[in-house]
Amino acid sequence: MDLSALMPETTLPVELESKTRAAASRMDEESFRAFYERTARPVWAYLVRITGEAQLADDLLQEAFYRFYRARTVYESESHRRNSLFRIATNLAHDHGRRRRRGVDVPIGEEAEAVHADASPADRVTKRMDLGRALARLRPLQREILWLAYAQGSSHEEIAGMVGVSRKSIKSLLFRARKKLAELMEAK
Amino acid sequence: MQACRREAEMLERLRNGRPDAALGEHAAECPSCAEVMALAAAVLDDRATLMESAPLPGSGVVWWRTTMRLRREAARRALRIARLVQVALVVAAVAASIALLVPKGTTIDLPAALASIRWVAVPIFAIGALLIMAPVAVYFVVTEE
Repeated sequence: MDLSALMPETTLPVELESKTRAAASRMDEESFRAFYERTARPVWAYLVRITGEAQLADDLLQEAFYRFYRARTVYESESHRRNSLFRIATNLAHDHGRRRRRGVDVPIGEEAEAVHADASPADRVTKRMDLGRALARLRPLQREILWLAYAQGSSHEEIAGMVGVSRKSIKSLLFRARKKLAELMEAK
Repeated sequence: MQACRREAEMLERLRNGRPDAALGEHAAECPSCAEVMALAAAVLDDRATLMESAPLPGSGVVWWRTTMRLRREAARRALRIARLVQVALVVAAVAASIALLVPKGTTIDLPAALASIRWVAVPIFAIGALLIMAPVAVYFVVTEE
């Protein structure tokens, strides 16, 4: 399988990086919209997989961009800015999870598949459904770490900042999450 | 199964295309790297499909919603401050009126004073409430629209 099409955009060309840095002090409409165009899809995909619900991911994405803009923080680089957005999205998902645990428990992992199942050939859909179900059976933190490491290509340090755990523990958490996911995928 | 030192390299190559021949050969013999390769490929494929099918609103819509919401929040904050100022002004006005109307050196018998204004207290309170609430009500009607 050619995986070049799956490459995440984790880095930017130097020119774009410096332009972004120059505009970082004040995010106007143009830079906000450009940032949204670059990051909304990966963040949405992340939210779908960590919450298991496409509809919820829509809402959390909108909220994440609102909070990101409201904070008006100055970032050193595009990657810092992106990490901050992922951190906000993660916190929103955590908050939602906490609220849900206090209220009605809704099974996760099915709705997202129902929304997207018709978009892929049958075998890919099957594989993705298996992955979706397996991810849904992991603990939220395991889902987040796995996705950020494998799908986003984030470093251990970045992941630690985004999910709010120490950098030292990321390696072992990621290893355990990976073993668990492999077990679940095999046992499907 | 132990974690392999080449897992990070394997992931990096996967994210940037496909592992080269040497790494591919290594993965064939290393169960840990083979596992990483299989899982990461599945996750990356899933991510690509999700991103492709993401039903996202346009950036213009999101910008508009974001700025509108910020404006509403700013207006709400300003209104809270205005309300506090109104209350403070009413209290100050009442205090000033009492100070002006009551002759110097007169001691106020509070229960007696309250009893004497009992019949006018309700209309005064209603007018005061109207003065305070009317701008608030107008604001909410206008912003809802």
